[in-house]
Amino acid sequence: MHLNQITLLNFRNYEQATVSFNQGINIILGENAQGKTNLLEAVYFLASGKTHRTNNAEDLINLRKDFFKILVLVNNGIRENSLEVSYKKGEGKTTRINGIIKRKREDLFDQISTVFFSPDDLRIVKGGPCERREFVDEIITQIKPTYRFIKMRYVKILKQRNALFRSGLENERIVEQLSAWDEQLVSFGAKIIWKRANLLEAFNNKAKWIYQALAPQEWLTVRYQPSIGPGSSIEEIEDKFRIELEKRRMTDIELGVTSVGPHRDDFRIEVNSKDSRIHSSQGEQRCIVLSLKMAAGLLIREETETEPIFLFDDVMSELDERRRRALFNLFFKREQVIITSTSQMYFGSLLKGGKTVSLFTVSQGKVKKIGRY
Amino acid sequence: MDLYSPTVANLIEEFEKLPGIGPKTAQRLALFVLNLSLEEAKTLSDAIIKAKEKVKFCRICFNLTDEEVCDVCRSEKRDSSIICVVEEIKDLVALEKTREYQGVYHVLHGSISPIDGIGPEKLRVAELLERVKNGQVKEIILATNPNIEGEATAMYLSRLFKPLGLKVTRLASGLPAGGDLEYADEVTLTRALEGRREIF
Repeated sequence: MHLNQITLLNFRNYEQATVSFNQGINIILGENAQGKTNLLEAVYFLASGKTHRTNNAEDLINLRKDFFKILVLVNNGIRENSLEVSYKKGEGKTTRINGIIKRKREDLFDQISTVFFSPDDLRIVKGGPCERREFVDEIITQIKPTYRFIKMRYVKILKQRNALFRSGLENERIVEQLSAWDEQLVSFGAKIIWKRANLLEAFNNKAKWIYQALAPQEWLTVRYQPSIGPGSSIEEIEDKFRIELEKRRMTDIELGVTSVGPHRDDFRIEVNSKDSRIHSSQGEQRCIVLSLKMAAGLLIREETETEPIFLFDDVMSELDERRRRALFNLFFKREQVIITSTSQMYFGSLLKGGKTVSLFTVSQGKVKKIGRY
Repeated sequence: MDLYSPTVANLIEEFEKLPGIGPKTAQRLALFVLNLSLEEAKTLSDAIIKAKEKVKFCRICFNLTDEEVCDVCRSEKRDSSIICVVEEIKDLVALEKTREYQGVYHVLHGSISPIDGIGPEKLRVAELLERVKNGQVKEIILATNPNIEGEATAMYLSRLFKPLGLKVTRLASGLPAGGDLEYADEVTLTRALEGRREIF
């Protein structure tokens, strides 16, 4: 799918702006703090309900206003849909598809699929297990939307279980009630582990060749480190999970936590079998995250038969000339990529490839199209 | 609240304590009451007092009743060897509306939820156990809600009653009858798929 147009009203530093994008590569150029990232953020927020910078929709409103609106026209290969989300102080969000109000925000997520890269995403490599779980889970959710509910339920059960540990009841009473929670924890937990394990197999095939395009002779692998498993079926994982819970029961009660389960999973990101968290340079880590994001997009395309829109923020910095060229070649194969950069210099010789690239500039919340190459 | 005299403010606050009532509705209700004649106001307050004084929980199943034992438990037409366990009285009412169920009930008055400090000892579980031990109960139907607290409650009860040699059943979950597939949400549809059965 691809974005034909976006209109922003009072979003961040934009008061009013309409930008028409093209298929292929769209490059948004501008100095720092002019609104490049805000443009990508708006698309990603509409498509996922999230942004990488804030959890509060109110922060997204232009400082002098009391509401914002994002409207996009998306072509999904069959037809063009108009998707809209607005937020008003004190009233909350409103979602519209082709002008019709939708009660559920998730309806919008089904209509547009994006993969967003931000320099903050380096934390997928550098940060804690939680960042990696979130990355993997977001891909699964895009492929299988009901995964969202499985996770929500799992988290609720976990909270109830831990609250039981901290209830101050005698151990005997706790154990008596515990199995009522454990059965549910095991059932939902095993589903999560099973889905994560299955995803990684297909994911690694893609990530591997993408990374090799950027760094020849290097092997990228994401290795699942489940806190239970592995298992060749959901039932097997359930059994193992149950046994682990039993084994740890007394220490868990004492410490008031659940020490095993998919909420303790991790993923080891390896290059040539070495942990990239420790062994990779800043530039390499950037390449790794870019490869993970590209691979995510290709996998979503394969599973859902729709290619997501790639939104890559400040993507060229920290990469050398050869890697920039390699990345650009990967972008050329995609239906639509929207990237931001502070300097046209990064693209100098790349623009002569005979393919379609659209250039825009952003200055103080005003976007201008400056050409097509 | 200084905009109202203390008496009016007090009335508004009392209404606001009710479930589902926000400040604006509370204000509307209070002003409505003030516009009633004294007689009408007395009828309303009497209804509240009378309900409080007269209505109690059925000593067998904890349904609401004006007597010692509720209509369902008293009825000779009902099969007291089947007990349907529900969380709230409104669930019992919903099941009664079907006029299909011929057994009796047991109202737990809640579900197990450690986060809210509710364990089985705060529900009418001990009384249910007592009923089962004393009577000729053959089957327990667990009709708690299909959310995680309701499921946990059902599992807890099932572990309690299965060893006593009872038949323990759980309500099915899936598609609403008479509805359209397209209106079902994803979770319900997934469950319905998981619980599919062969057709003959």
